[in-house]
Amino acid sequence: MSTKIFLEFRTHIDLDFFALGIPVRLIRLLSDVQLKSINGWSKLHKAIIDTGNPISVIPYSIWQNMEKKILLSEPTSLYGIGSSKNSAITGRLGQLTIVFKDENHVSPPLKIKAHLLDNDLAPFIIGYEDILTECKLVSDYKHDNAYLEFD
Amino acid sequence: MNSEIYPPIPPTPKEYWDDSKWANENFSEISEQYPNLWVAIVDKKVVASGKVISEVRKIAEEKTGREHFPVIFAEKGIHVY
Repeated sequence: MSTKIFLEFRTHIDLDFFALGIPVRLIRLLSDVQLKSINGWSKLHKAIIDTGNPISVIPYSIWQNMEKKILLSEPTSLYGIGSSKNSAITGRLGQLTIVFKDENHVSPPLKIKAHLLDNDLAPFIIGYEDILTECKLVSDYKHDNAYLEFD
Repeated sequence: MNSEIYPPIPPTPKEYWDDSKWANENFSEISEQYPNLWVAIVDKKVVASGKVISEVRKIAEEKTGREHFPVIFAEKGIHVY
């Protein structure tokens, strides 16, 4: 039997563009997750579902005290639009266990690889590897319906 | 499917979901007032903000006595990750 975890769209208007007479919606698809800690599970964290990210990205404060395996001790860099070697975000490739939650459901635990950041300069981002590769993602903004479905 | 046994996952208080919903509905104002900071929401108001999640969470826990509340990144502008 499959498990559906409902996601939420957050929509707000960029006020700077709006002041210039151009209403631009800034939309994020959000999930709620918990990570396996040494003694149980972490607090609930908000995470952005991002199909443009090949791998999940986790801020330092969130992964720091969790049960984890560092897969590569050498730091790696993550590049985004406009970033260079000097401005790339750094971290380490690691592995943790995650569950997704909504008000009524919990997903099966997933062992995932993720980029564990050296700081909190980026939000928690859910990428493809080990998560979106393991479930069905439905993202229907028009009908305010989005979920992950796990077999 | 792996056979690893996991500890039970405790339920999340309703207040978390209510505060989460409020944060989404008021995100424009939150990101204007706390641009690109981490922000803790308890009882439908911002109770702590800062650049480090663990510090924001600690301040919010000490102020409110609560354990479960959303901490969101109040991104201002268009961020492409």
